[in-house]
Amino acid sequence: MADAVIRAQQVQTAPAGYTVPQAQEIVVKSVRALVDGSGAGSAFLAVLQLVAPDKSVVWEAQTDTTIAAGASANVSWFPGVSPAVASSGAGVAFASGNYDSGANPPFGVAAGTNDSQPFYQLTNTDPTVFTWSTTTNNDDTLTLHPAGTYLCFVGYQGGTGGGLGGPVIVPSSVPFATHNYQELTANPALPGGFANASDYTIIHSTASDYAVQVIITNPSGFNMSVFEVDFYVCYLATGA
Amino acid sequence: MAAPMKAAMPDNVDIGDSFTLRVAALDPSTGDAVAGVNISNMSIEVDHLTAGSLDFGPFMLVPGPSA
Repeated sequence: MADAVIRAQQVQTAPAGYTVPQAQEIVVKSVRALVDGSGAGSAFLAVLQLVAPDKSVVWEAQTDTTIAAGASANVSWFPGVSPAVASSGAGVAFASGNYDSGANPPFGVAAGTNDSQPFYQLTNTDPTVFTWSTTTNNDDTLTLHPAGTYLCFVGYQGGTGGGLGGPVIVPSSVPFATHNYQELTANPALPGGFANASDYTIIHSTASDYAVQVIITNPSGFNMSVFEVDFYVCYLATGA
Repeated sequence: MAAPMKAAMPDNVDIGDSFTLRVAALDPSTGDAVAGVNISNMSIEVDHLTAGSLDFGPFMLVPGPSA
């Protein structure tokens, strides 16, 4: 078995390639070509094709990204290359909401109650994935449109609620009374005996338009003020 | 300067005579051929399983160090 390289000596118009001569057999190990799109009128994919003698295409192997009209690429094909993760081309879709008592209307949770956290400073990189809306308080609901997997995180700074309470990320369909809560301990680094807390979860929604909220729980007998809350959601993968 | 790109192809592509390995330029939305694209410096690394010449059309064996 002899290792060899066969090379085209001329510039050819695409599609261009090599036909195995009569009575010959080869095992292809890699292919490389300079793809010159300087005369192309639109973006394109460079595609390696195996074509049978009857002109049918047996398989295709394409580049993960397009080559812009007028651009060129030095393309190498070989086994073992991992395909790129599918994406919109603009990175992972991302939404966030912020509440800051120094800039926004006061928000607190009365003793023995729960309430949905309002948000004011919003980001949303892809409106086809996320929508912010108001259910009870200002922009307290984030709808996750495609069924899929989402990474969610919320950070909280505020009162201790007597030692219990804090933020939880939940579907908006869950009744407030069933929410879990966590132990809140005063952070000695903060003035006034206030606490930091967080909650994080991975949501795998099996249906579209899954709405989530951050609920601040306060099962204690003390009223609780909220100072700052940051809520982040990343869309990781599609599919139910 | 052309940007380097890499792409996956099947492993152990064993092909016999009259099969063609070619590079096409296709529209990413329609799959139709895009005109105005040229292919040059196409090189294919192979294991040659048979005796005889692999030269075909504009393709020729690259001379080795002792050629």
